[in-house]
Amino acid sequence: LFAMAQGSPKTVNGKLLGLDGTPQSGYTLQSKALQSQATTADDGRFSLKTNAGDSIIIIFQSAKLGAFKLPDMDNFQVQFAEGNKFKFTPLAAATPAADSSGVGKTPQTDSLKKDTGVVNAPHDSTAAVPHDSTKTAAVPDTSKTGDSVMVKGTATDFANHPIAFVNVTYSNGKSYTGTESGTFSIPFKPGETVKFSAVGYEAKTVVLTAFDKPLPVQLNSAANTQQLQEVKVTALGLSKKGKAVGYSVQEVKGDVVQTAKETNFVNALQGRLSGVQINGNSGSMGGSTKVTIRGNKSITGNNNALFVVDGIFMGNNNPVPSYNQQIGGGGYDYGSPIQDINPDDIDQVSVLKGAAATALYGSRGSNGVVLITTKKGGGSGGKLGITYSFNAQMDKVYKLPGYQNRYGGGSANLADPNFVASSFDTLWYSKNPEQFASGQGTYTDPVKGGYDLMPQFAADESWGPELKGQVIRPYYSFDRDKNNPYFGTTSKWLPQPDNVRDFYRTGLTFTNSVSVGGSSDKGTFRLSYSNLSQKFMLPNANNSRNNLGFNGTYKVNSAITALASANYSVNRATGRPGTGFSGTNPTEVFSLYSQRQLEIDKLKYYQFPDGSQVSWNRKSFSDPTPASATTPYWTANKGYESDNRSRLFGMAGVEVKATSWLNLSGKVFLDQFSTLQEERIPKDYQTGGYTRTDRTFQELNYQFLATVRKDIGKKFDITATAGGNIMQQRDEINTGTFTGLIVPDIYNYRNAAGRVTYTPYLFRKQINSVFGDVTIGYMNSVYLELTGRNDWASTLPAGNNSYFYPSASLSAVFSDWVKWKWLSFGKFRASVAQIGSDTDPYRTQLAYGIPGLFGSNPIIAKDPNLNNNQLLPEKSTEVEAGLELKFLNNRVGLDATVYSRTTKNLIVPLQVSPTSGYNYYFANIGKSRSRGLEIELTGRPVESKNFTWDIGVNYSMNRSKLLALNVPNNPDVDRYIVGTERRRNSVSTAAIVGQPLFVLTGTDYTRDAGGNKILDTSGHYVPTDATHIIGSTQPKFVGGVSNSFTYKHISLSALIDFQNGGSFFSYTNMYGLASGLLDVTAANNIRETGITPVGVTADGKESTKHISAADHFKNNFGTNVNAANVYDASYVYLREVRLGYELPERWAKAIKGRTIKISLYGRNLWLIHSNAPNVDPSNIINSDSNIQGLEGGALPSTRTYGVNLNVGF
Amino acid sequence: FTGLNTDPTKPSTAPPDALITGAEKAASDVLYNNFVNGKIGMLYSQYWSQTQKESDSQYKLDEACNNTLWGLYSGALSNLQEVVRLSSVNAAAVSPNEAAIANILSVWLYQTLADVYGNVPYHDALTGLNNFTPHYDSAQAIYDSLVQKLDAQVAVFDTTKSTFKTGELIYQGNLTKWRKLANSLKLRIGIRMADAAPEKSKQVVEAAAAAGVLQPGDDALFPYLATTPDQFPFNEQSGTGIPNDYVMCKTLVDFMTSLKDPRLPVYARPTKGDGSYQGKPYGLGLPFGNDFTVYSYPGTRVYAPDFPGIVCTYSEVEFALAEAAARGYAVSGTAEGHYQNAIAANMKFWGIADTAAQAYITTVPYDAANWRNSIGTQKWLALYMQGIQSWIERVRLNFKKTDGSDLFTAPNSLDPTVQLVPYRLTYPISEGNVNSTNYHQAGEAIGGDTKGTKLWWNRN
Repeated sequence: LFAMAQGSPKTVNGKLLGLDGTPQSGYTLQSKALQSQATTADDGRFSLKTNAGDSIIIIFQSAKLGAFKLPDMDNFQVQFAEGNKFKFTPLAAATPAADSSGVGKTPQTDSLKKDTGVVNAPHDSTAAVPHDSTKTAAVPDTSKTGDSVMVKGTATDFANHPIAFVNVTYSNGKSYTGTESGTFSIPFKPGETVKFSAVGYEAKTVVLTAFDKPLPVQLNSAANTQQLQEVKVTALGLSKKGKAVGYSVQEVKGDVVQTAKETNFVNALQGRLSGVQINGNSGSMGGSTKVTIRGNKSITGNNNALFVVDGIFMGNNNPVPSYNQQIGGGGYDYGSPIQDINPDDIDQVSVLKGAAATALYGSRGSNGVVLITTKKGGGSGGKLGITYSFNAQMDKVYKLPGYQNRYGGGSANLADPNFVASSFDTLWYSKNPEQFASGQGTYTDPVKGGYDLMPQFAADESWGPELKGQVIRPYYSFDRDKNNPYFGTTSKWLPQPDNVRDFYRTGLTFTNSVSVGGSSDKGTFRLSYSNLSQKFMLPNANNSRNNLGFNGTYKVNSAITALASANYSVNRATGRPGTGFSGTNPTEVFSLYSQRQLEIDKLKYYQFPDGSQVSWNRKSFSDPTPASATTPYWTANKGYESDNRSRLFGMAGVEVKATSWLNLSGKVFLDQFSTLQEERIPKDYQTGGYTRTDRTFQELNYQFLATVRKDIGKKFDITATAGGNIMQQRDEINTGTFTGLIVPDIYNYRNAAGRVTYTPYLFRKQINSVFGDVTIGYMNSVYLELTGRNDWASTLPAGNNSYFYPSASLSAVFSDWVKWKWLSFGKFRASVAQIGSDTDPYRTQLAYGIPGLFGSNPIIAKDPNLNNNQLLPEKSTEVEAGLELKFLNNRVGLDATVYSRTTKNLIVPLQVSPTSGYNYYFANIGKSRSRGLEIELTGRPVESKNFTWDIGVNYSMNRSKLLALNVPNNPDVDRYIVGTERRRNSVSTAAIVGQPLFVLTGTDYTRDAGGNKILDTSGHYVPTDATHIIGSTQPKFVGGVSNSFTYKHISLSALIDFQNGGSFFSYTNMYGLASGLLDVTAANNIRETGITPVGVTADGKESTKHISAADHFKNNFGTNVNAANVYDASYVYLREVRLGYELPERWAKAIKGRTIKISLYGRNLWLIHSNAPNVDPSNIINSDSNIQGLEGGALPSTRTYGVNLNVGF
Repeated sequence: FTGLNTDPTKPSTAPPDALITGAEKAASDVLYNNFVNGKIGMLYSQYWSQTQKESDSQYKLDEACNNTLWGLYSGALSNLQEVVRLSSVNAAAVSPNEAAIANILSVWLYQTLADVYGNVPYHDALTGLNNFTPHYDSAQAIYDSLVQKLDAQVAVFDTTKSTFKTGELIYQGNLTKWRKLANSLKLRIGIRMADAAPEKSKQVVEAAAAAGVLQPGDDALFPYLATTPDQFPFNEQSGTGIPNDYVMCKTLVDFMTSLKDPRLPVYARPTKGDGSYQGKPYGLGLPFGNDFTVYSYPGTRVYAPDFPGIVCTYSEVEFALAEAAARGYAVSGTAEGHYQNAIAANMKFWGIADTAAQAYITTVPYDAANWRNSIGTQKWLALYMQGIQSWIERVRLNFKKTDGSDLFTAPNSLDPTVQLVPYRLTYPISEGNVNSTNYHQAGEAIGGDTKGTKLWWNRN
């Protein structure tokens, strides 16, 4: 039967050892000639019938792992060796086979003879692992670690681009992480089925069959697949199968915020997320970013999304709630503290939009949650993964108002109906010879003698003489007694079209980031450091940030894993721009009030040798005191602010895999930061002043979770989570302020000429919660999730402080059931959820105000804000439905969501008539509703081996409306005033019953029955009272379109974002017109011709009253008729263009690296369309509060160009 | 949780002295800050002119001014009310005398509100949760109530019971002086309705005068301190030096110059240019060129950090008595005597030497046949720095120079309802939002919510 056999059968006794020399059990050895088999015992021994010269095949769990040529020994040890080789040694007699062998107990010590049998791995391995031996050179060698055989490979996407940090999970739950460059090295367990997954990609299972070949794994991107195994990160960081999620969750990969860097990474998300509105105010100068998800729901101070980083709730409110700053009254926008996060640490951003998605976060998530997952681990196989990135960017001022360049400084004469321009003042030599350096002046009068012409220095408007090169005495040519080097010089009265643009220097930001990561089956760690150094566009304005981050996991044993992370950041800024209507805001001193002819080079001479200010706005030639405006360079160099914030956030906890179906975890989360803010008013002609704010914020969360996963029968599976959380918050803010410095330039409390006024603020809050979540799956395609949470909040009165809220969501992958060919994937989801909310501390008890002093007499006053011991929690109920469809082999995808949320019992500081004795009353009032639609479209029009083109479109519309107010005892109150702009006290952001959230109210034109504007006899429009609705801050829709092209190693992407509708009241336009600075005030010879405002007189006849341009622009715009300066906030913006190139691998190798990627990018490149003059409508907020739609002298927007280099080792 | 939700920075009880200090300061701060005294009172009285941006003097009302004045309700008045409430709850802790003083101060403020706006919330006011939308009471009815209120307080005074100690900064709780101030405020109320309700006016004034009004040395002043932050609200030592908002008004400077009034160097500074006293024409929207050189700034005394917040002075009382006598009311003394006392007292207030004062008085003799202009012009000169009171008196007496020529000039008004001077302020816009029904009713009740609507006491 076995005639072909080369020799006679014999039985050999052996022992199978692994790479590390440990015995390998459960392997099958098969004789190629005889087809006989033997299985290795626990000690690795086997006994097999063979022929001499036979080949022995090693099989593990049906997979052929390799083969060796039988050595010329009857008793031998065979050991796996590197390079798919085997090592043979004689079998020691002292270690007899446990069974099946009765021979060979005698050691054959004398004929030690190494032999090596080399047999190629079988080529008929399972189809799951394609082989391509020609590619081996491109793949790292297999290597040996301490205790196991490793297999290496590379994870790539469809276009063969590496997938960073691929996650590999074994059946025993152990998981490993690939490197940033896509490679991985994982323990080889023959026949093991492992799962490769990565965020944004469809997971794929692979059977490990050979360790000697590189294992290429190609994952399809999630957008391009049926999402069968896609994992979504949901509330509390719980991972759920994409199929099982019954509500909208949108994800963005970290590279979006890493390449085209914004100082605050949140700005880089603008236009990428449906249902998410992101507004800023020159983010690159450190301003706030407001993130509103699904529109405004609450009419209280906060509609901002909650940020959660790896489970840590991140405080993100501005340090001092300055109402004055929010309403455009000046102060500083210290920016959103969320920018403390190092963008290079971010792996993924998930946005949970609706109530069902955020239900487990309770009240704090009621405005939506931005969930940030940071990078973990890195490296593999005992090798560290190191990445380094360098980013350099340049900021240039982009959108400036259109200025007129025909007339210089001077005030208007409104008494003269034919006023064109004011004239120069005259400085006579005969009267003031001491003001002349030599000679008797530029001009000579035959009677009065020599003289010079002077502009009206004290006027901070531009209704002055035409700029025709007249020789004049500029503001800096006096003050001989101050050793002024420019004394007596003259200048020419000429246009300075670029003076404002030239004030802003080129901003520069450098970021260096490095990270080191490692992972093994014992755990993972990642350590990162980042340094950002920024030169703002303003003179003497700088910002720096250092981030140090660590996270790690450690497997104590197979059941217990310990986790910890710690992040420390330090932010330091000086010279942030002031905002709103204040002299520290460069916009105020250039665009609201100014003289157009100012020479920027001369403005830089801001200080006389004696240290006093050189003001262009001097009171007169003989009085250098500023009349109104402070010179911007003086502000920048002497009256600058400075601030710093150091922050520590992190977590520590354990996860216990108690049984195969039960996981337990206990974690503590900490977020803590301290800030110091200092604001300075230099002592000069002013007495000076100083304000210092110290703040310490701390939040601790103690969280316990138990999760059960179980299959029930073949059709059902169940996942249940139960947990509890204790949240403790403490926020302490102390502000001290005084007016009057004893000596100049020293800023501390001891240098106070008067008394320091201190304001303390201590905010403490605790919420205890229990919650649960059950998800039941049916046939892997229909899922029902139920959640419930009960909160006990310290801020609500006893009796009302416990509140429960449930949610239910359903998802059904109907494409599993209806096998339509054109439909690659179809899922329907629906949910209903409730969320309860508490409020700020101390709103339930009556108290007096903070004590104060007058002289030595104490002052206590009633608190003008009336508290309420009957407050109830706010309740929101949201219904959401969505559809996910994929067509044409996943080339086209649609994800659409509709929702409707009703919020009632809104807790608001209700503005009440001061005649009641109070200004505000904390009340549960009203009912609001937000309804909306979100659509995400994805498509891949072109897909080939080397070239792909992807399009992504997102669109969202939201309609928020106030349905009722129901003010206790006062049923006729129909509106809630959120805030009123500071300077005119006329235009308000308001919530009015039956109107969108929010509307702008103010004075409108009075019109006759025919709709004609009514003018009074002096040619001025007659305003209505200020209760009229003159605009709505709510956009009709917002969205973005992204296109990305990939050709081999080159990628190009462009993002356009847009907003349609929404309006705002503009100080820049109102004051820019009144002050004669803007181009329209000098266009078409309007100053020479004057104007006849169009309208009718009270008797209905067409008005023929002719008035001067100055009169028109001062009295026919927002200062009288607020509606005249309300503008449409629509825009279309080319927000970002990125060009990336991954350098050839050999270049990387040359520096011992794995990958090098270089990217060029630009942000805020082109405001393609806007209906609002002179400002960038996407860049107008004063703060991230609800007081929106009031542009208070916004900074010019900035255009950014940058380069990003990323190296992986 | 209760402890956790109790604000540790705020007290739950307040001693009456601490409440009254706060209320007096809050009241004075409102009436004498730039928004109320500067942009309304001192301008509408044509004491000062604006430099550039003359819109306030042209009667485009800055709502911040309005809101500030209206803030008397939730500020000073609410705290005075709190003293009264505490006394009614626990008379041992807060004596009836203290409640009475608080009530007297509230009369001062309510009358000011009723004189500036007309109908204002009164009976329904300050009731908190009970009524967030108080009804606006008729100004005339408020006057009646205020008189009754003053009478009631004087009756309450009991020297055997305790009174404010250190915290009451106007009279240190001196009941005798408070009684005189109460009667003087009653006198002010009485004389203000002289044209509108002559009988009532006569009765109130005579009763007040008989009961004892302020005497020399009794001026009711809130004593601001020289150091920040306890300074007179609008002074030149906090902030930016001499405020640039105002220069002297030509109306005042020219008139004082013509009278050789010795107070002019106190009221105004010499110009930087030639050292003379020059005022700027009022509210014409003139080109703003060398305003700071050619016009006089207000005087150093009125911009001093310790300039007092004036509640009522002996000088004003004497002017009221002069007018009462001129109108034939039964008050002791003659119109001329009171007139001369009033001027002399005011000169003393401003630090003018007696001889100079007496010399001046002889140059501006009382003219019985022309008493309205005679008293009107001199009272106007004496009320300098009390902008709101002066504006109201200007409107009420509608006086001219003693030779019959116009004293005041008309600005280029930006308010079509006003030509010469506003007769009142429009109600705050915010009331239209938070107390809409009553706001609109009140506007109708007084004949339109414009600055041109004459209030009930204005019969000129």
